[in-house]
Amino acid sequence: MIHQLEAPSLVHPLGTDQLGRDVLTRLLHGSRLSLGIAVIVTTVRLVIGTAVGLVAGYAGGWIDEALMRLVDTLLAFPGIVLALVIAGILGPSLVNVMLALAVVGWASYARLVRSSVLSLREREFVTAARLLGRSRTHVTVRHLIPNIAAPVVVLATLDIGGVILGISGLSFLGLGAQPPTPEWGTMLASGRTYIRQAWWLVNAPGVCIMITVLGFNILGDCLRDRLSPAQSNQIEKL
Amino acid sequence: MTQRERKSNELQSRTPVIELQNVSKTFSEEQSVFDRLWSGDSAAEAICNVSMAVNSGETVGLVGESGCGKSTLAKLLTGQLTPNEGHVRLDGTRVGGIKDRSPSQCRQIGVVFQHVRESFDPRWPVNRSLTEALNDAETVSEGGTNFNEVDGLLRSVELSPEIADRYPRELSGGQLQRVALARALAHDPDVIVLDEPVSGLDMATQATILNLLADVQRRFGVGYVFISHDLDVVRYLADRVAVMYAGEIVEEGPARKLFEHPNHPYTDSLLRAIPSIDPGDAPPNSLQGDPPDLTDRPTGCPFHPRCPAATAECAEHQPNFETIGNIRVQCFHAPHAIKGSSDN
Repeated sequence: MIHQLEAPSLVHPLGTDQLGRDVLTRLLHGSRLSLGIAVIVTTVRLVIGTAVGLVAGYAGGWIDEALMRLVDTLLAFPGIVLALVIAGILGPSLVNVMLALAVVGWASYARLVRSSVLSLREREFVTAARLLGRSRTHVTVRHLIPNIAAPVVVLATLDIGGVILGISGLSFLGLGAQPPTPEWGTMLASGRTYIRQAWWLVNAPGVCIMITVLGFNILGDCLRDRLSPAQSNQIEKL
Repeated sequence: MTQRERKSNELQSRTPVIELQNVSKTFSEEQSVFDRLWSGDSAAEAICNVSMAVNSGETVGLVGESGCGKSTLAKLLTGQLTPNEGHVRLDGTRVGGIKDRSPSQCRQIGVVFQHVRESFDPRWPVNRSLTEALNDAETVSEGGTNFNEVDGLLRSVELSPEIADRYPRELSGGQLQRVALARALAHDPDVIVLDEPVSGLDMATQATILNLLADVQRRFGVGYVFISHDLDVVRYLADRVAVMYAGEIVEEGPARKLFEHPNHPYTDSLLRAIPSIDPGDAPPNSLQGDPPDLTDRPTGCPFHPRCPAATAECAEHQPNFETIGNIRVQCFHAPHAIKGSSDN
């Protein structure tokens, strides 16, 4: 272990850690994990939320009532605390953290999809398809989903930042990826001990998390502007 | 007897494509417990004991003021609403709402919506919307388009086939109206319900659409239920006319006769409200008062508070239909009422 806690240099642009590993290399490798997990968790949230929202919006009645109360319950808890509880019960591992974050976060998608379905199904083009004798499945797949896709995609991009923070946060607390896995949150946590001797150990993953989250938020904002109804002329031609 | 009347007479002997039998439709507002304690029942009777029949190949005009239940009646025909009382019959078979109708039953009735632009998916080009409406579209709707049929449909409504790739927002009101008619024709219906098909269009476009409608009817033998508040338009197209007031049909009969000799005071006042092109004629005579509140209908004849010929009898009893030739009219004083009111 000759390269322990070396300051940033030309050979190690972001320095090395307590075990002499190159921080930049670990960060680059860790981005695969952090981003990959975030995308998977967000996709799972999106799929569950959309399915629940479609069922609630289209079925109505007591099914809608029951599903929405479940959503309310989930939204009433602070997400990260609930995720902490679930991950704590399941035991520390990356898969469990993913599971916990996915279970916690689908409620807002369900809300959004349900309200979109409620307004869309009153639109006359949906009635027109129903009057042609088309099935509910046809109407849902061909008319409803394409028309609610835009706001859901925007929500997902905005949500991805939160998921990255969540994974990093839970990993920081020791519930997610276990060392030596190069996950950003885990790196942050293990660097904490050496914060006085080696500032780069916490700053590098911290800045990475910040820039990624910020980036996804800006992307989400732009998408929202782009996909808003007034601009819908452009999207279809893209 | 004109050719048109003869046509409608011989059509009446067949089983009508769609028939309403003593249909009533009430809308009840959702009320809290407190509202119910204070004000009691406030259900609005939008349609009240209406019977009508439509045959293929004929045009039934449906006229009346805004809010008199024309569109509600159309929705009962198409199955978007189900009646509280009475039956809807398709080819003599009793049917319910859309949910209970088979796809082929749904397809017997075509619809052209009041807000045409709203009735097309903004994300679909014209060919996709038309393909969706075609009969054999189950496989085609998987993403493909039946180009030949779409082409033929667009030609039949006098549109160029190039329109097929356009999106609804890229089309003018007149073009979209034609596309809507093409979509209604796509599944070969027996009757098309047209809800205010020309009301949002300029005069020139109105004329071409009306001619197109007449032409399409001649070629395809389809029946129309033509809803409009524009009596001139109805006079041009309709074989039979039903006049609606406060959710009831107050007079029904062959268009020509009804327009020349209105029997019901309400029909008469509607006709008088049309402004004349000749400055020497009397100015349009608007009807005084407002249509009744449907949650609190007047007793007796619903028109009596505004009727120039109303008597005490009208306020107490609901008149039954009186048949004068092939016109039926719901008034105690028909046709004497008209004579009385036109004297002053």
